[in-house]
Amino acid sequence: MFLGISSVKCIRINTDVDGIPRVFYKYDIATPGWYPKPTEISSEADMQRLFKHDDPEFGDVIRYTEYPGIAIGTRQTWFYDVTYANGEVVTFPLKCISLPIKNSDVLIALNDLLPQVFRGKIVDDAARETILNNIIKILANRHLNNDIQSWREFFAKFPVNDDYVFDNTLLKLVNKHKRAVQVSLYAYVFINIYINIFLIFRNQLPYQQSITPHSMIWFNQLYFLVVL
Amino acid sequence: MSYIYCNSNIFTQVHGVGSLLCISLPDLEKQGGNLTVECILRGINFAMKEREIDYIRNLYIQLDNVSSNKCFTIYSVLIELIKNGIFKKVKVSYLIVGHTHEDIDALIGIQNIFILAIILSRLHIGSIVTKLRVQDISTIEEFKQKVLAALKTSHGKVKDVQVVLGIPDYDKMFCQIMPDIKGMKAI
Repeated sequence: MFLGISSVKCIRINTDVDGIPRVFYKYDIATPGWYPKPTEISSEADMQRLFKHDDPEFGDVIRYTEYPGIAIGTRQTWFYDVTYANGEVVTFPLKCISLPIKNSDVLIALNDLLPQVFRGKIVDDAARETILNNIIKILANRHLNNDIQSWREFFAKFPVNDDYVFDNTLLKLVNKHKRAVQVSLYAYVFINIYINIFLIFRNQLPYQQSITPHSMIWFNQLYFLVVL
Repeated sequence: MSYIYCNSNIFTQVHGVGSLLCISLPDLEKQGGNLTVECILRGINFAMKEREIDYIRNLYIQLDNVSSNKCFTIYSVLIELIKNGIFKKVKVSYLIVGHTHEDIDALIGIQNIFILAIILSRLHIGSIVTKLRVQDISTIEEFKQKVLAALKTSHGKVKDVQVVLGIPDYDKMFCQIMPDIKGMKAI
């Protein structure tokens, strides 16, 4: 089955632990599992070659089932449950591969990309004059002659030649907010999971149910801090 | 003889912050992927300025499901921003078929009935288009003022109106880091 970019419903771009950007995609937002898959198994020979066990007692691969990870930290992983001839089932977790990105480890010097190239007729005097004339005629037909001057002033702000340097939004954003590449902090993920477990089971904690709500909250927080 | 002037209005809604309206002139500048990139960048700038933050950990972008929003220029620019540490993760998702009931379209407005527009306008409810449909607007400045005053609700209120002139050719600037489209075809 072959699908192109037109069928893609979600794109995910993130960095790996080395700070290298990775790109994944999905054809259905609600279904777990990211593409490109770790491997494409198109034939029996592929299956035997990929999942061949080191121990000869396992024998040939009989069949395999694949499913995507749904837990935190495994969402870009596909799991392969492989059944061997001796009846053993072995699960292989394989990480999704990223779409190849050219020069993924090179930071582009955005300043070197200037002067920018613009598409369109913004510096074309004739094109601007035509549009301004159209606007003036529309305003004149509606007896709004007082507004003509406002439009003339608006069009007078346009650049007159290719040398004009516009305010580059991208350059401005990067220059203002540039910092080290953000990578996954597994400690942060762990604390998140811990807090969630704590919130789910907080009613099981050994404190009396009759205390006031405010004290209860305070006690909860204290207990959490002590346990952490 | 009829004379036509048109401008292109792109709404960027930042959930929990407000909305940004970008006005461009399609007769003078080509639209498409470059304009989409420019609006995304202006939206990010707007959100960071409103929230007074220096970086965004996870960025979720929802775009209309049209071909110009699926060009690799958008992904390339986002990759470059990630490499510069502006974000850690970006998810770009495309709105489903029939998304006219989603909040962004509800904000802009789909009501085409003029009478309904007048009634809603009098009752101070409805969308931006509903409000603007019953008013005469003849200048850009007037248009800006009317859009800014159109909605009073905090979540959907348009907080800034920007005229986008001189859209850079991001396609040409970032062709060297485009993701390989061939990898996307096979599943």
